[in-house]
Amino acid sequence: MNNSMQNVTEAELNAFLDNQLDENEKSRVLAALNDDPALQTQLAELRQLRDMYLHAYENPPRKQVAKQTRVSRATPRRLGIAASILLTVGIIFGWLGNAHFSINRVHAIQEEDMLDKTSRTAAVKNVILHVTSGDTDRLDAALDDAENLLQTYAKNEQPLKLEIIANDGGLNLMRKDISIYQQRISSLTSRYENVTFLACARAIKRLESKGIEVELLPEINIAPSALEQIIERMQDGWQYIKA
Amino acid sequence: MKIIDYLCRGHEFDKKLAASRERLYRVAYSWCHQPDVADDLVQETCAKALKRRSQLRDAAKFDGWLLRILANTWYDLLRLRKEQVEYDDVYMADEMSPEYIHSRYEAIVDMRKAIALLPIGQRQVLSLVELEQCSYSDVAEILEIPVGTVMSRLNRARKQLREILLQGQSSNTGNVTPLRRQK
Repeated sequence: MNNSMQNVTEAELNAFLDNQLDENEKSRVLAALNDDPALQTQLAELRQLRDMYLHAYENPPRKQVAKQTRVSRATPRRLGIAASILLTVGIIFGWLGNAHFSINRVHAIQEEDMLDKTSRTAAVKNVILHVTSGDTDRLDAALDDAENLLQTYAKNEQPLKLEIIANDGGLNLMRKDISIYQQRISSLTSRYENVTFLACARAIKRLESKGIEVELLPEINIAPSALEQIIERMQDGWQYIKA
Repeated sequence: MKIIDYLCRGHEFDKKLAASRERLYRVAYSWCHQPDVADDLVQETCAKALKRRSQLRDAAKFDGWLLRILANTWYDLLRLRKEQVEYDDVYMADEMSPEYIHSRYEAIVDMRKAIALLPIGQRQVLSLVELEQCSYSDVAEILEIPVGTVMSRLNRARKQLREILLQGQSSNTGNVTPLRRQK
């Protein structure tokens, strides 16, 4: 009865589904399928599983959308989602246009400008560094990147404007009660006039709505919304870096 | 003429790379299930691809070459974050996760949860075969494993996925049942 089942292994059935068999093997499996309803069911299940899998990853979530849906309930929601979409589009276009959009992008920016070093009349380089994670490794890396960028441009006497903007977990960098970076931020702002630290007002409000009192370091300014600030800056030609 | 050919090739490369971003994100997300991480992986992969563009000898092998960079970038990340596997489980099984709360597509969420329970190697093989429609030999080349391993991982992945989903259906009480990794 189940002769064909014995003849056709699970691996072969998978290979049949994935169109990985040669003509002879395919014919053998087809013949077995013809004779054996259990094998047909098995193949149908595999096909169903494939459809479910493809469906599950048809539209994978994007980080910006996920954040907005988690926090927004009232009217700002629409604006937030629209901002996220715009930001994503902006990021993609920014990437397409600039082609240095990586974890090592700070170095890429530096390398690019080193090539342009001969031109003393170079335009001001504007960079916005977005901090979203409270993870100390990432915060350390963000500050290292910022400092590196500021140092290099100062050394080469090239004009630079740098904004470091935080929302979500990134606020940990700027909160007086929990930040371990007070001295570092204070040192950076006193050494470099071209660096600005910004905290997202919406993210602060979100924390406050949970009963968390937020006090920021004295060097920190407030932007009404991190997303809007980033979109605005990118529209003005600023370079976006995700820390 | 050579210079023009070279420039055209470069332009073609940029276009192909830009067009691959969505697909790369889908594959990266199917491996890590974290939008932030998937985004970083894609960015890093594209940056590496741009840097190493001269290493691509055969333009026809672009897709496999790019996926191989993605796989290696993912391995690098896993080495840095050994706790990733456990974190995935917590993230995907957490009934308060935004994904669960806001998703109207429970089947999608269930499927992603089930996939998150698979070992990473199985997840990779499955996504390359299903999403990218790679041949077994392509997968073997991308992940640098024998074809036999590709087949056995695929077989185990599908079998386990089926079991997890069936288990989920039989114990479905309307609440999220915390899923546990099956060794």
